[in-house]
Amino acid sequence: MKTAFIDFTRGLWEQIPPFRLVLGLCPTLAVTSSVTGGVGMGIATTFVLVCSNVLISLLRPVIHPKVRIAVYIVIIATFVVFVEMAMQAWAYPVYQLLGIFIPLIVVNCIIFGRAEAFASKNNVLRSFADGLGMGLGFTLSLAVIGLFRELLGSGAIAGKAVFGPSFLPCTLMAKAPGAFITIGCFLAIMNGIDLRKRGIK
Amino acid sequence: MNDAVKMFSVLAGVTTTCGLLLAGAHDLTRERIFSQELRYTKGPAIRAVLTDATNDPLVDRKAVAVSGKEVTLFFGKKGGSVTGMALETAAQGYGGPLHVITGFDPESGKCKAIAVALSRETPGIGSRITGNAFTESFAGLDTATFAALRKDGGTIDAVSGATISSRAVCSAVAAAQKLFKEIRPSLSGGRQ
Repeated sequence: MKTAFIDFTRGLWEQIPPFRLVLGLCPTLAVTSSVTGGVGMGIATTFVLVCSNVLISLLRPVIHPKVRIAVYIVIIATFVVFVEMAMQAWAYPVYQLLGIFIPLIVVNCIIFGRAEAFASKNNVLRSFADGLGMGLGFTLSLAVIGLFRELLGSGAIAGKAVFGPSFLPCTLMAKAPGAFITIGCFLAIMNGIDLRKRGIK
Repeated sequence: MNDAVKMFSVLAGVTTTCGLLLAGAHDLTRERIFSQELRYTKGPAIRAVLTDATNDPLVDRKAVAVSGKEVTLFFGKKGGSVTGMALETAAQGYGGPLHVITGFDPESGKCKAIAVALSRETPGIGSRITGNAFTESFAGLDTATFAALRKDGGTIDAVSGATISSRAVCSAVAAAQKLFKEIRPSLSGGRQ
């Protein structure tokens, strides 16, 4: 239980994607121009990550090592299509916002990385904890990046304008370079905090 | 050999199970996805075309068979009487398929208004076909004049620099006009 908790928290700070585990940058750049997009993508990814981690961990004894990559891809793709269908059926506006990036979760390196590096070697409980931690960490990161970019790039939070009409949006922040700048700044802050913790100035 | 059989059976088992699950999920969500698509992609265009309707045209729809194909007609009603009918047609645009909703007057059969429901035209160039300046030029086309560009011998002015996109809208509207012409006599005996 204790190890599972450690696995869970690892995804929230120590290896939080996409900052620490510099994987999954493509969706990060693409969908974080608004909070809604970021959170929607985060939740979809979390679902796929948790389900595929659990299933791959369960199937460990039967997955033949030579075909493991193919099996992982089939499992991940299945869950992604489930998410896509569910989003189309119950959250169509979010689906319209994310569009092609939902099916592209199949090739998200975070999911594949966790399947290969973690779920294929550990038990179900630990894999579940790892998937949940990584997923929530990713959701949190996307939400924070989205909040920052939307605030500066379009002067709004989740589509609602927060500044007066005189606010001049910084369009750069709404485009891909804005995402790089934001990620860079957050990474610098996170590294600063870690260095300080270790007593190095 | 034994190894190969094991590899094969694992992969076959996993893919078959996943395939069956996906088919099941597709069946479960199909209806709902269809109505959501209607509501969010075609809905705004249909409402833009049937402006005077007080009902929900997405609910008052009817599938009609025309020359072997099934066409969905959307009815706009006001005070119980049908004030407009809309149908969707598609044509090949510059950047991909272009879906147009054309609204007709049930009395005269004239084109009331059109709206572009889905387009992938070049932003800033072809995308201008979705603007009112262009779409309004289709209003009032009667049953005898099918939509065509002026340079093709018709009455519609193309958006400058976007001939292909403009022509695609014209052919979609003309297709809708032809369909409506075929459907009209079968609609509860034509005129009421």
